Amino acid sequence: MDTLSAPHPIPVPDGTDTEIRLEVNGRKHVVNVEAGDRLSSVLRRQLRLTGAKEGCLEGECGSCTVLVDDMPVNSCLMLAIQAEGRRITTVEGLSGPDGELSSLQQAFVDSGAIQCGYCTPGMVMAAQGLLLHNPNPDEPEIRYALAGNLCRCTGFQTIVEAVKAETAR
Amino acid sequence: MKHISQPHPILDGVEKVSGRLDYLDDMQIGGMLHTKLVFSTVPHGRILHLETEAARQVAGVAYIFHHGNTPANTYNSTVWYEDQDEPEDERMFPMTVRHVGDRVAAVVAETPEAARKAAALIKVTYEELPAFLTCHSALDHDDRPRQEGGMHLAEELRFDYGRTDADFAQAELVVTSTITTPRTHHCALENHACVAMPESDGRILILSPCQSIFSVQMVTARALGVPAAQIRVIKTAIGGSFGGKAEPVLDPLCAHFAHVLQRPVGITLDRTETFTATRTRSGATGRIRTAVSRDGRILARDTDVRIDIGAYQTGGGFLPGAMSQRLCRLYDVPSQRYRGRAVLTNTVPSGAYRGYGSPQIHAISEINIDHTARALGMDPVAFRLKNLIEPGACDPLTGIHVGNARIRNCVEQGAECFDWQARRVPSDPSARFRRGVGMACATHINGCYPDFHEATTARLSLRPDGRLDLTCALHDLGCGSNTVLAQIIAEVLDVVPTDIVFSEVDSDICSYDLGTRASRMTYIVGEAVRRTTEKLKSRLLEIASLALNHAAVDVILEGGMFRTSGDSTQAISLAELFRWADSHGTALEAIESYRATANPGSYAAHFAEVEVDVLTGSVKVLDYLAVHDLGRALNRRLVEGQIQGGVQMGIGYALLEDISIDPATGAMKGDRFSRYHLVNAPQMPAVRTLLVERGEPTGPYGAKAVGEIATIPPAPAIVNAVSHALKRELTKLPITQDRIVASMR
Amino acid sequence: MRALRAPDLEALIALMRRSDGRIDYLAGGTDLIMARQDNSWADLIVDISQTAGLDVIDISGDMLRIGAGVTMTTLTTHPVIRRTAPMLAMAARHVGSVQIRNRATLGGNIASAMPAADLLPVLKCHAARVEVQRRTGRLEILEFDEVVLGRGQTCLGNGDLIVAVRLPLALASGRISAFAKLGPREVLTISRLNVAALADYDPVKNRLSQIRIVAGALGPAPLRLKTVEIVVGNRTVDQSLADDFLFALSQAVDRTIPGRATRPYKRRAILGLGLDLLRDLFVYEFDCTALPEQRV
Repeated sequence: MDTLSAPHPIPVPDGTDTEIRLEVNGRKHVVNVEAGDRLSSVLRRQLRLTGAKEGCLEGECGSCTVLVDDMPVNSCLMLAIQAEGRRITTVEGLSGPDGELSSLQQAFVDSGAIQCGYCTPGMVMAAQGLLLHNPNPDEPEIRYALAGNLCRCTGFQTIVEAVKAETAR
Repeated sequence: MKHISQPHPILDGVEKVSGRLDYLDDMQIGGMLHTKLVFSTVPHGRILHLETEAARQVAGVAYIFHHGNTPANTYNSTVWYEDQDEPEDERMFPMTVRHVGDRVAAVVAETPEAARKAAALIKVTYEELPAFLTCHSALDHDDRPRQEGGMHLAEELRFDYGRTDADFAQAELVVTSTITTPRTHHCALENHACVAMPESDGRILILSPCQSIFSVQMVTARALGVPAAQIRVIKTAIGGSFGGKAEPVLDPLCAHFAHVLQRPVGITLDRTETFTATRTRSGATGRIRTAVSRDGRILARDTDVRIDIGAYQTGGGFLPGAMSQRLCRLYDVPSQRYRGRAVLTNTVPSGAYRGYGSPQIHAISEINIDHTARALGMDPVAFRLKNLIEPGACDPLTGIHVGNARIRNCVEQGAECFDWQARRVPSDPSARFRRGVGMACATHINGCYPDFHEATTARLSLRPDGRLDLTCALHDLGCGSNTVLAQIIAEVLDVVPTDIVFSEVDSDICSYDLGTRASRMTYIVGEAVRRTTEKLKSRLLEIASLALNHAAVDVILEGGMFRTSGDSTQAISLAELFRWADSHGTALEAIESYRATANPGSYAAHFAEVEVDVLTGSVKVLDYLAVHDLGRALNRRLVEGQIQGGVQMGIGYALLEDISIDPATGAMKGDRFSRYHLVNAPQMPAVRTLLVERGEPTGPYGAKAVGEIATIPPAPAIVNAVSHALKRELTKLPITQDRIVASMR
Repeated sequence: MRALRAPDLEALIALMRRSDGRIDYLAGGTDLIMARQDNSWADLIVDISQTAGLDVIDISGDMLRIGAGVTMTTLTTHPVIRRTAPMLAMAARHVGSVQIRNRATLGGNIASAMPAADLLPVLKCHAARVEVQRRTGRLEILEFDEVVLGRGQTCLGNGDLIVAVRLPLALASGRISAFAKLGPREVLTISRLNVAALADYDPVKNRLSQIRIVAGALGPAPLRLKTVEIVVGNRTVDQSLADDFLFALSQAVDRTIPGRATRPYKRRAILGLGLDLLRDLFVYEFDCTALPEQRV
């Protein structure tokens, strides 16, 4: 996307496609998007990073959560063009180069925090975002940080336990 | 036991937590067309005109389907076996729409954007017809049964056993309650989706996150008017279902589109469409009268329940029966009368939803039990203990035994663990925040026995690498049922659960199975798999004895190795046995069909403590104890996960969840997560679980079901606790802030 | 449709003056992307989420100036906000989820002008003034009520932009404030009622001099409850003040939404919010048995 600076004339609108540069999981991508494309859609359909799910498209379920500059955001409520110049981390970026799980991901598996798994990538990213800013959250802080992530299977208890287990490490 | 009762992590946890597991909407299918459906905006109306010309002009549009160009075959989406006869009132696109959200048309296009753009250009003109949005208005309008040409009464069931009238006449006390439960939605995080594509042999392949591939096959075949053999179905990973994906809603449409266009076609609903155009839990209003003696014995009960099943029959006709069954398997009631009516209204259809009628009827009956205890001046636990059934009791209606029913143990142990006596004290009537405790009991079934189709077939075979292939139509809905089955196989053969390879759930590969429903996975399928594995083990030992040249009685299977009991030097692995057998032209597999012989009850007693703000009506659940009689927990971690999730859903049912049909327009008010609140992490208490493991003789390793029953007692337990805190009788669910505040006036 | 990013305020102003089509300024996007989900975007989308100059937080003299692009998360965590406008930090903490707060901005909350918005009663209570950059190039400093006009209605013409908010700060000590909110859920919930209160209080004399009270979700725009202010202003803080305060709150609901279906609920629920406010203002739990329920 064009970055405007004061002396430049306004470019004439020239169609709908905009070329943007995205840094996702440490890799740089150049993609063509429409100006109104949501980040979640570009991640899923263009970059084939389908860990983030589109569960509600209104910022209520959190299943599309990714980190932008280490902050959890709903990728469905951010346009892809807004992500240019930012550092994006998706669930695919948590695992190691050979696919080994991060310790937080492993804690989710070990604690029984996963059932159908559809909310799991978003949930893990919200938890990751919490731990990056607060390595030792107490239970109310964990629950508050996960308030924007709906899970219909687990009742959240094992998810909270997984995050606790990670903080205890 | 090495594997049974061990907390094995869910088998596909790593794929899920890494984001690598592809759900249907994550798959990239070459050449696939995309669909946008157009839905009715009126609750009842005849389509006079469909203006599609502008939509047709949109670049990329392949075809526009509607009632004028699609098969008019009627079907019932609940059907799960070949010649099942249920009232058929659905079709792909009806000419007369029956609810807001009914299907009017579908645009199939090269891109989702083109489909969306074109769908928005379709104009529909309706001749609006009178809409009946409640059971009350529908039955007022026409209460003749459907079989006699009536419009609204889909099914009526009555029974009367004992001496109901005489017992009511003699009773010292009769307590009447009228309880209403809301229409609710499953809210699986994965929206409804389907993909269909033509196969090279002319058949249609459906990829579906479903609860029964054979149900998808039968329903689609009927809708298309083709033999079932023309439809092949593969189950994909499923992001939650809870009954919501039990009935194929999109599959018939998708298959037809793919067939006509000879291209892969996908349909993915958005969240609001999933709310308004799939299935919901029926709402119920029950008037229940309980006759008791002064000393607290239930003498007779009379229940009249009206069930709002929405616009189409679907499986709604089973609800009066399902509900009646639960009334006969929990308390020892000498005389009972029942009338259940399933009523068609101009609202979103209902369908299966975790508990299939049980959450509704238990809310009605367990709240009434508390009302009755209060009228008697008895403690609700003591009153229940006086009337609960004993192990081995017989359902007076069906004659079926409830098995090793340990509800009394649940209540007794739960009351002790919860410290019920000490906590059941009146709250300070002048305080703003009032505490209360409440409890409720529940029962649920284990499978469909005595229905003839309650059977399944499993095939287990040894692989060249020494691992095992399990071929069975297993619909793990995400709760880990496959993990439990792997534990059973691992236990019998002394291998590890990760050695089990699950076949694709594909109608071309798997034997018939009716799918994941009726709490039958562990109890029925688990037993089928156990028997199959035992059979394979015998076969393996027999062949191993030949390979080892020893008498079969001396050969043991241990740690994946066959040894002879006397000689430790002679041993062969499973993989070596495969090679030996292969070289001798011997197959190492077992197939077993298992037909259920019983239908025991699962039981639960839940205890809750709440704090109610009498000014704002806000309720906080402070403490929660769930006690379950599940025979035996095959995997305690998964069991607790089921219970904790069930409680979360049940608390929502008690306090928050209601799709809320607008009485003026018939539109759904709670049609998205910002308007239909689920219990989220800060709202959820820690749930303590106590398991009563006394063994069910007919279940695998003594196990019976827990998944559905976990969500049945929470709502009445919470409502009873709030009623205790407020010294009020709350009867309309969900007990929202407004309803609680209104009750204080 | 075309999208541009404005690196700084200077470039942004130059852009808005030179372009003439419809412009959508996109900051956090948590409201706007929902509103435009039918692809009804303006011809020009200007991404202002990374525009330098919109993220300022500074104090000059007796004025706190907060850039319109400051996020809810920053409002909750920034030491200057927490010290000088704790009620604003508190209200921001009640907005949405962490994901929403990381994106949603102060300016967006004003521009969306939703009746249940959590920051608006607080801003009005603080007598905030809003810097509006007109498309014509003029910078106007407007009163809160001149900007937020009703449900979804503001004084902003197309191409106009909220640049910053100015909060007058108390010069003397003794300024106290509180914010209380009520929704169907505790966290991630749209307010059914919210109330902000800002007062001057002398703890030695236990005397409340003046107080300003603003309620949200009672009308199309935040509503100042002057009748309540009069009842409790210039009084000793005791149970009788609490009784009168709660009674006046409930009466204010009756007057504001007389015929509405939600009135029976809100006239009582506001008592709970009132008690919460009193607790947070005076760090004292007022006696619940003396609730003026019967008077209501």
